Amino acid sequence: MTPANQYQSDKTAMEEIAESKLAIVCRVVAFTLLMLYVVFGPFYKQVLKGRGNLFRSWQMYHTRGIDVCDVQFYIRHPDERIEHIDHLQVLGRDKLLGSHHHSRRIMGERGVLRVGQRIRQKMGGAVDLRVNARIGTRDGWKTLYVDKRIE
Amino acid sequence: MKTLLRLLQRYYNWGLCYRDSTRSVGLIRIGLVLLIWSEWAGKLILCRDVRPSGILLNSAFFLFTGLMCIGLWTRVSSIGAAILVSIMFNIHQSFKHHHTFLLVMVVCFIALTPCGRSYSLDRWLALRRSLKSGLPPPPEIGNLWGLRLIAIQLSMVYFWTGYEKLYWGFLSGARIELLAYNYYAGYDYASIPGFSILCSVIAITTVTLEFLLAFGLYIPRFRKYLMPAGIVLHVLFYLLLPIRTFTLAMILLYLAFIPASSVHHFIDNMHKGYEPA
Repeated sequence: MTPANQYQSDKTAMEEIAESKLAIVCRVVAFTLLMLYVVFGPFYKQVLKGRGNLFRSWQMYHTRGIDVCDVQFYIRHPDERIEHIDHLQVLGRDKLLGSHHHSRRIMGERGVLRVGQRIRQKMGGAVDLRVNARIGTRDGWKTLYVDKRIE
Repeated sequence: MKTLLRLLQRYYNWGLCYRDSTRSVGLIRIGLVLLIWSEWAGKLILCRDVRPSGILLNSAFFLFTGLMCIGLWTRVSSIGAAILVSIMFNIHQSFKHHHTFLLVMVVCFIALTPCGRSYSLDRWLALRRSLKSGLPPPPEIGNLWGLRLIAIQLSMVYFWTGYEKLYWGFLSGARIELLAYNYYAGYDYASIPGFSILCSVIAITTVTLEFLLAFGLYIPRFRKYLMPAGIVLHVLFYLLLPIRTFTLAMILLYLAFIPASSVHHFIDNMHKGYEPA
């Protein structure tokens, strides 16, 4: 008998095995309860905004990137000339290599001001350092600073 | 009334009368243990928690998952492993991620199947017994209702993650931009022409694909296109974002959508013509 034929005859034999009614009922109940948990658990958390740890939602990465800032520092010279500066370069960090993404990104309003003050310390107090910044929110970018002077 | 009864009959047949080859569940069983070890084992080695209760619990975790992986006393070891990973998930705050929840759920579901009838020490012992007694080898067939639950779980992962993205902030591509700024900071993305449009296209494609995968994987005609698309999507997630075992778990669990008999015959065909030395 070939493996395929053997498999078919085994399958037929298995289908003919009678199971007890109790086993069938238990299986039906367990299957239905587990299926309801899998299907409606996220519904309870995500649609009905339910609380508690019994049910789990499927909200992956829904908070990642919130508060991250897109920042542009620049110096306004007395003759109104604008000089854009690369904050990572000024702070002596490699732009793309050698550091974890946590240290390359700028998070939140405080983060922008902290980086601004460090740039100011590096460049000296006399420069008119300014920043344009937008911050990430659940609904997208929101303007944080426009032409703000770093004191 | 007749329609309802017919629907219930179909539900019962589809979910609870799925008797087929156990090779799929055997493969999932081994893969799951390896994934759960790569996720948790480093935090559960015995020196991490030297309280007697910690040593006992962590030893039991390695014992039961180890037996489940090699397939010895698989019915008991897989149920034990399911209970233990559920306990571990709830007592360790650092384990409470979506991807580990998926692993826990699937370990519980696989424990409901005769996953030790293929690719296991149990199988090898059964073959040895049949050889000695001269009886035919036990069939690699069983009721795979746990595999149906895995399929439903996967669909719900796609459906609810897709549902979660149905808002303008995501569909406009802004949230994808934020992920780029968050994980790939250092570039001036605003100066790249078409960057926002590209992010919007990525966002809409992702959501569309997630909804298609949620329902389309059940339809054989669509499955052959959707499965490679899903694998590409997960591989991209794996390469671009720190999602660890999630990609590999999802790809492994695609076996729940492939008819178990097809997997069985595919493996048989791979061994065709092999002559042991």
